[in-house]
Amino acid sequence: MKRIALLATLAVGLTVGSAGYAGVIDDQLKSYEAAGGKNFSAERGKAMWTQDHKDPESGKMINCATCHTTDLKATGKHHQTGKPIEPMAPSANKERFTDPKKIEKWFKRNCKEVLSRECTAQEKGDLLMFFRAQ
Amino acid sequence: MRRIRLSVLAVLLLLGAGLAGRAAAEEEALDSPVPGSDIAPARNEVYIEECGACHVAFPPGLMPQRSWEVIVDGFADHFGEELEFDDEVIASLRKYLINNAADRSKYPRSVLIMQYLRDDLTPTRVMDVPYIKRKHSQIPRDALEKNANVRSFANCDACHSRVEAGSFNKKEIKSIWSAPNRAGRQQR
Repeated sequence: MKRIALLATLAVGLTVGSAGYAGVIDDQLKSYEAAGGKNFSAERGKAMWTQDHKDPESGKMINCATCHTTDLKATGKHHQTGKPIEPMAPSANKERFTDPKKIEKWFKRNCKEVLSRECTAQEKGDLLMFFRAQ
Repeated sequence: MRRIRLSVLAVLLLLGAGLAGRAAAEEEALDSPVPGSDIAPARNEVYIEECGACHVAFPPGLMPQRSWEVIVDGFADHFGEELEFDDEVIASLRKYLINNAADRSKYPRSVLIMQYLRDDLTPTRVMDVPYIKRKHSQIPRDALEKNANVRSFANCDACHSRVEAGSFNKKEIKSIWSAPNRAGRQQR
């Protein structure tokens, strides 16, 4: 009986644990794998975060941290409008990575802004691994 | 003599009341359908979500319908940004902005904005609306843009503490300058 109870608790625990942002991220990662990404790495994601690219509009060098800062638990600031941006880290912001549509929307918009192109499935996967650990 | 004095007093009182009444009327001129708001606050969820993400959700009553139409038609190049929205989202935004534009609003500041806007002008930046531009004309752009707390004239709520309530009252403006005042003392 005890073993069954233990297994039941474990099963429930795992299900609950997969809910929220972690579950959504997992689903996204699966879709990126299907699109050709593999061995997603938070280290690579972290490196991408501060990699400079030229902003064609201003001519300045920008990277993800320009708006979101290097501390994902901190509030960021839009580099043109000055608008505060809520923290990226799921540990600091319960809203993050709970809506797959939003994840895709902001990847598209912000990769285009910083890299002047869309991010590949590999890059998105690496970045999600980086975010998830924050 | 007493009668004359009384009538003089009465005239003075009436004059005083008249002046006070006029001052009160000027204050009241900014009373609006919603007390404490001089422009209709932005309340549409789609608008706040989609447009309020990168900059303050500008109350639609700050610009006329024709300005908002230019903005909505120009999402492909929105001040340098390429914005992509579903057709329903665009339709929803267009409807909200047009229905609540300055020329459709009875709120006092919207009325003033339209009074000071020539028909042949279609500003696409809130700061290019003549009434608003004039209100900010004493602020040096350079100093404001270099101020880390503000950065841009599009960042209304850096100074206007009650934008979300639709209020731009001068008394509500936050101090953003940490430079010493004229007497040389550090201001808090």
